[in-house]
Order: sequence, then structure tokens, then C-alpha cells
Amino acid sequence: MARATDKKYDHLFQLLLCGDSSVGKTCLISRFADNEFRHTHINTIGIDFKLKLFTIRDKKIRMQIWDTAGQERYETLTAQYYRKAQGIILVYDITREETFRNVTKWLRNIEDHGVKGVKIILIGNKVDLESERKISTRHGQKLANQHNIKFFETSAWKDINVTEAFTELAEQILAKVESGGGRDRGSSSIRESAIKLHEQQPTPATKSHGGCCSGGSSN
Amino acid sequence: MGEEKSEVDRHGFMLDDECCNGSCFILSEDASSNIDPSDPAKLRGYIKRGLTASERGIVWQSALNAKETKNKHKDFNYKECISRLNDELQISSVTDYKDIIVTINDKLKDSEGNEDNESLKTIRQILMDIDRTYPNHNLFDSGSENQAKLFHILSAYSQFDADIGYCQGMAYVVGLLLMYISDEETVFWCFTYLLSSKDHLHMVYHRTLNKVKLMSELLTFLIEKNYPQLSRHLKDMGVHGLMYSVQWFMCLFTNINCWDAVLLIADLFFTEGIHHLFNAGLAVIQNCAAELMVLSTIGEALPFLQNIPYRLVHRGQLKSLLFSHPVLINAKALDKYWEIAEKRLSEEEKGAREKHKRRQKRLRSPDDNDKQDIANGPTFFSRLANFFTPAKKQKTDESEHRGMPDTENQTPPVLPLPLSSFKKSIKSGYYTPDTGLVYTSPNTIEMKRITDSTSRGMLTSGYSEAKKLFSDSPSIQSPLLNNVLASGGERRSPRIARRRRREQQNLLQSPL
Repeated sequence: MARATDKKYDHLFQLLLCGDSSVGKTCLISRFADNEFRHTHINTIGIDFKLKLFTIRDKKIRMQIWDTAGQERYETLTAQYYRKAQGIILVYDITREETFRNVTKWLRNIEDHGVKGVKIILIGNKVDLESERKISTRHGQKLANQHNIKFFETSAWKDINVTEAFTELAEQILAKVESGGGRDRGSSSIRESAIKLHEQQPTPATKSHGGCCSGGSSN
Repeated sequence: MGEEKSEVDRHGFMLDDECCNGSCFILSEDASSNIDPSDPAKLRGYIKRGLTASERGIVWQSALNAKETKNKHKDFNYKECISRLNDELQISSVTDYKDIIVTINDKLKDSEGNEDNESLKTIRQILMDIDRTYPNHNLFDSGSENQAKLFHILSAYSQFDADIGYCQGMAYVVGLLLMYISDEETVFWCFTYLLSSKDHLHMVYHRTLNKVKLMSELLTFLIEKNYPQLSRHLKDMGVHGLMYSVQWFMCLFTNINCWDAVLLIADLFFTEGIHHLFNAGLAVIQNCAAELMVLSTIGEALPFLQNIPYRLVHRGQLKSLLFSHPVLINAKALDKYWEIAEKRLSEEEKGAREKHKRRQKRLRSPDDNDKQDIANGPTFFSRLANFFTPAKKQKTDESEHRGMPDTENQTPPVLPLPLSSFKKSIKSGYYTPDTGLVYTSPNTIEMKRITDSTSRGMLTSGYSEAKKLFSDSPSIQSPLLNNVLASGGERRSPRIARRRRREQQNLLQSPL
């Protein structure tokens, strides 16, 4: 509650992009964070990082977006970044079947390294290359349904659906945090509120740990 | 990207962004002298003065033992390898890469599960990366001869050393060599030497990337040793060495915003060895230190470190440090530092593994956790003692300051207890009526205080918070808790423990 008063934002979300090499992860981030698209850009080595301030439902969200290298051997460097991501954007390229097949592999990775209950969305990128399409929308949607995650088809180049996809993920995380279900993040707000509580006057518990002790706690 | 081709700097980079603005260093080709690359002492002088492009080619070839390496590997015929590759992929001209990718994709589809798949996939990956290597340099225009050379060298290397194969990042090193050594095969052997020499990039691109982690740890250690304040500040912000140094080591600082500085680092590294990569890292960090110290979050610090402004890293800035700074390490000292880094890394990994285990345990749903605790958990007193074990220094800053990876010792997050479990807890004795405290699970250092039985709850965590809470609230009195608090959360001797347990039982028998 009081914790955001001295800050320029209400929530800090950590997002991570993963998916095969050259599916357009970096381009999606550039489009979302800087609204730009470069046909020539360099490949991501290790990990890259972008910040974006973003408003949903009057809440200022500061997003830290981590961009990972797609080549398999870099997984050993990027695995540790999964751990604290609250939202993961899993990207495939609609013109390359293999990148779609590997979605299951990436989902397994998320399961192995990510926190339980992390919010995931699936993105089929490069819809501007409709003539080269190999994966139909229906297939993408079906896979997303199987894993109970939201699905978007985007084009970072033509700026189609990119903001929508990021917004959806942010909405999901926000809803989770606000309902107190965000376990890891929620818990850190509990820690924060706990510290605040003993530093200041004991106040009623904050919204961020609804559902815990003392019956509803929402005062 | 082709239209503004004329607008390139003297290194061949397009003048479209802030990189390499101004000429910190100009040496005309006329200055070229007949330098003898085999004399290390003189060579250092030349490097300090600056090499011309043609001198650089000569120096690099000689330093990277191109001829000797080729003679050593007589069984590998580079030209044959390339022509085999071209035949296989039906490459006739250098401009049809996009078509080759399509051909490869078709081939891969037909031969599902075939063993050749791996090498085809590698080749496709190389093709995809070539367009993303120095896209702003005029030598590497789409479809250019140099792109073909890049493709050949990387593909040949992936077949020459199947263990290492192809790793993203290699293309920058090969591209760097190609800018100054035009003969394709010579560059291949130079690259092969680089990747086999323990003084250079041996194992750096290996599948495990363990060497990169080790190098990053070594640099982190050197920063810690030489700039303790900065090191602490970076740690507090959550900036980990791997976040900024991977590119430095795997792409040889080619992401630094001054090409003259990149060349200086490469000259030193190729001629003298890997310690110069650490020295360059230290020099860059030292130049950035003052500005890093005024930043307060990872959100500011990381973009800064990933794109350091020209004024801090131009050749003049780095040169004075790279040749004379007292913190520099030399090749002799390196062995000792490798050892230290290895030790630190293995400790860190051990810690991470343990943390992972703890995390997995925590990740069980609270209800399960609860059931287990009730079924076979420790006695109430040992739980109590656990709760008051002094918490690790609580950080009040936000995760904004911490960054993503879990590099620091963090207090394990506390799980909120669902109402049903809470009720169960009260029944099973997690609740002490005289203090109004509810304890949740043995692994967490949390206690919840019920200030009134209906709606208000309060949380605190850790021994110090608990102590403060009690000293602030004299109304809360419990001999048992006071003892535990006075002991600093330490467990007592069995005799005292027994007595405590008796007190305990008395407490539990009192009505809720």
C-alpha cells in the first residue's frame, strides 16, 4: 500500500523471453520497449536487458525484460534468469516448423527452472510473412490451449499484436499479485510489508497477502 | 542498409549511430614500417603506438601461428572441406544464402531423425547468424564475399572440431580477423589456433560454457579485490558479472563503442594472451566506476554497462590503463587467479544447488507442506527454535535493486498460509495463546501475530524483527519467548530443551 509512495511505479515485473534462435525475440522487445524495428541487428550473446514503464488500469508497471540467446548451449547461462521471472514469453516463428516443435522443449525448461505458477504466453511471430507460413493459427492456439496459456500471433516488423501480448501478460501478473496468489513475488511483498510494519506503526495487513492467516486479513 | 554506403568511418563501419564518433586516434598507412612481429618487446611498443591495418594483419597472423597450426593439422584439408560443403549444399554463388536455408529446411524435413541432421542444423544456424554479424560494417554487406568467407570458416570449424561445433559469438571473432587478414584459409587457421591455445580462447565456446562462467567469476573477483566499494554496489544492485562480461569474453569486446579500443585490446590479447581480456575488463570497469556509483538500480546500471558511452572507453582512455595501471594482472599470476575463481565458482554453485533444493521443497503447495509438517515434522519446540534462528541480514531494498538471478543469499520467501491450514495449525499447536503468535512451517522464519481474533493479522520475519517487535510491545510477555530471544535464537542444551518442552505443553493446554 504505502510502499509505492516514494517510487515512480506501483509494481515491478520481471519478464523473460525465450524461444529458438532467430524467431524474433529481440525484435519483439525492441518493438514493445522502443517502438522500433531494425532489419539488421546483432544476435544476442548471453543475455540482454530492456526496461519499459507501462500503465495498466492506472497502475504504473515497471517492466524489466530479459532477452535470452536462443542457441541451446546458452541455456546454461540463462537458466538462472528463469528463476525470478514472473512472466515468460515463449516465441516461435510461424514460418519455421521446428521452432514450433521446440515449444514443448522450452515449456519443459520453464518447468524445470522457473517458479511454479509463472505466467506464460505463447507467441507465433512473423505473421507479416503470411505466404511462408508453415504453422496455422489453429495449431498454435491448440498447443496453447493444451498448456492452458494465452496465445498471440504477432509481427514485430508490422507492429501487429505486440503490445497486446505484453499487456496480456502484465495483466495476468498484476491480477496474480493483487490477489496475493503471486507466491514468490507475493512473499517478497510480505517481507516488505513485514519490515514496514515493524518500522512504522502496526497497521492492518496489506492487500498483498490476502488469503493468509487471520481470516481474509483485508480489514 | 545499402543506400548510405558511402557514409562509413575509416574502419568501414556505417556512421549511423554514436559509435566511433570523433577520431581519438589516427595513424595513416604511411606510418607503416617494417616491423618484426617476432620480437615481443618491440611489438609491444608498436602496439602502444598503434598498428596500421596492414601491419595488424601481419602481426596477427604471426601471433596466432597460422602456418604452424596448418602444418600441425595436415590431416585436415581446408579447401577440400569447403568444396565438399559447397557440393553438398549446391552453392554456386555467395548471394543465395536465403535459398540455401530453404534447401536445408527441406532436407531436414525429409531426413527426420537422421544423424546428419545435427551438422545440417549447425550450418543453418551459421547461415542465420551471418546476416547478424557486423551488419553495420561495409565488408559484411548481405551477399558479400566476406559473408561467404565467414560462412566457410565457421562451417569448416564446426566440422574440424565437432566437440566445440559452432557457438554464437564466434562469428564476431572470425569477422574481426577477416577485417585485417583477407586470406580465408589463413583466418581459419588463426581461429583454430585461438580456440586451441590455453592462453587464448581454449574451451570458451564449449557446449557447457563453463569456461565463460569461470572467466566471469575471475573478473568479478578482480573487481572485488581492486574496487571493493564498486563491487559491493554492483552486488547490491543485483548486477552479476555474467550479465555484462559474457559478450566481452565471447566476442572479444567488439561491442565496445570505440573500434580503436577494440583493436587495441585485440592486439594485446592476440600477441600476449588471455590476461589482457581481464585487464581490459578491469580498465573498462575502472573508467565506468564513478558513473556506476551514482546509479542505484539494475535498471540503470545494466543498460549502461551493455552500451558504455564512447567517452569512457575510447582508445585514449583505455590505453593509459592497459599499459601501466597497477591493478593489471600478468600471465604469470593468472594460474593463481584461475584457481581462486574455480574455488569461488564451485562454492557458488554448491550454494545454488542447495538453494534449488530448498526452493523445490518450498514449491510444494502450502497445504501439502502443512500436512507433512504435521505428520512428521520436528517437535514444536524445535520449530520454535528454528523460527528464531537469526535471519540472514534482511535487505530492505526492492528486487529492482537485486536483479533477477538469485546470486545472493536470500532469506527464503515466506509462504502465506491459507485459512484452512491456519485453523489446522491452531489445532495442532502452532499457536501460542499468550503471545498471539502463530508459527507456520519449520523452514520459514515467519511468525504471524494475531492482534485480534477476527480480521487483523500482522507479519514479521526473522529474529531481529521479532526481537524488535517484542521490545516495542511490552504487552507481549512470554517467558518462553523471552528466553529464546535472549539466546539469540540458538538452540539450548537437551536439558533446557526438555524443560522448555514442558513449559510448551503447559502453554498448549491453555484454552485458545
